[in-house]
Amino acid sequence: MKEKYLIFAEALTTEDVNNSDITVQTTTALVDPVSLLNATSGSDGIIEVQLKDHADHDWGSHYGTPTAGDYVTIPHQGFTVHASSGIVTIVEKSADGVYGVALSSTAGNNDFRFNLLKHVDGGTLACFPASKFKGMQTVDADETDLYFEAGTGDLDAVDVIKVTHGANKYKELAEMVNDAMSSAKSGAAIDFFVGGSTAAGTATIIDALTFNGNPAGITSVDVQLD
Amino acid sequence: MKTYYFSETSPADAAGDAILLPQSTFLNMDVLSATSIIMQFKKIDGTHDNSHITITHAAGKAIDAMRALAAAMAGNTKFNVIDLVEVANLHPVTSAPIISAITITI
Repeated sequence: MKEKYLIFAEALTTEDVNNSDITVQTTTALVDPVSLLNATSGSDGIIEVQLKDHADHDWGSHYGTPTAGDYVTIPHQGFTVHASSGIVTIVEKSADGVYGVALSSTAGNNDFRFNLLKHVDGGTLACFPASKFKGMQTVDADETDLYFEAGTGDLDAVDVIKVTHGANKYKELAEMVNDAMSSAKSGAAIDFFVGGSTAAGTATIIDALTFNGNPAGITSVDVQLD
Repeated sequence: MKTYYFSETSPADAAGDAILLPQSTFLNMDVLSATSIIMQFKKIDGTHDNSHITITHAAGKAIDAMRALAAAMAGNTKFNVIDLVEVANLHPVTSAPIISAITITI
């Protein structure tokens, strides 16, 4: 039988940081560790930075007239990312009249949102060959663990993909897994479940990718590597 | 039997420059950073550990690199020895080659 390669990815994270000045510290809730962010994370399209508009804000010409309360996306020209600390610094309007923004002097009026647009941290995106699948078992009505031989090479351990799916959809999930591993599709990887955005509203929305129309109603996966 | 060939340099003329691994020993791929993923294989010396290849790719292209490598591994080939990086870069899922370097850890 031809080998198949299944891709699993967790949802892309988002983090709100409220009450900040122009230097905003992201945390491991967004990327773990934050040192995976660096100076090109904005221009590379790894993260998206948004600021909730407030009447106190003075925006550069790029932004027009935002609606108070909306999260406004700041292009990468409007912020910098530290090489390793996860700190994002907003460019002030006085330095860049186009992409800069003058924040409120009241920290409570400066609420930021960070959206991860790519998978960059270990254990959030993985690819397994079907031949290393060891089985799957129910955890509860809407969760199932898929087991694969551990990538560490430890014969006493496994890598686990915890799948959250529709209630009582274990059999549908089993059929999905079987179909993916015996798929007539060859010459390409199989996106079994690639999580999309958790952000909403004015954020860049990336839809989740699912295999075969998602009959099991998968809503998320948790990649648990040995 | 398919085998996968990896070379840090060409020609491979020093210890650790290149490695050939059988398909049956491939365990998984995981993301390491914005510009790198890791391919893990059963340890070449038979111990309960892994040998791995670190793949350096264009920023933010982890899933594209995985797809390209998986396609190279799954594809029909004239020869059973597949130079994975070469094949993945010749037939990338995006418009341009995305793998720029590899590091072999035996």
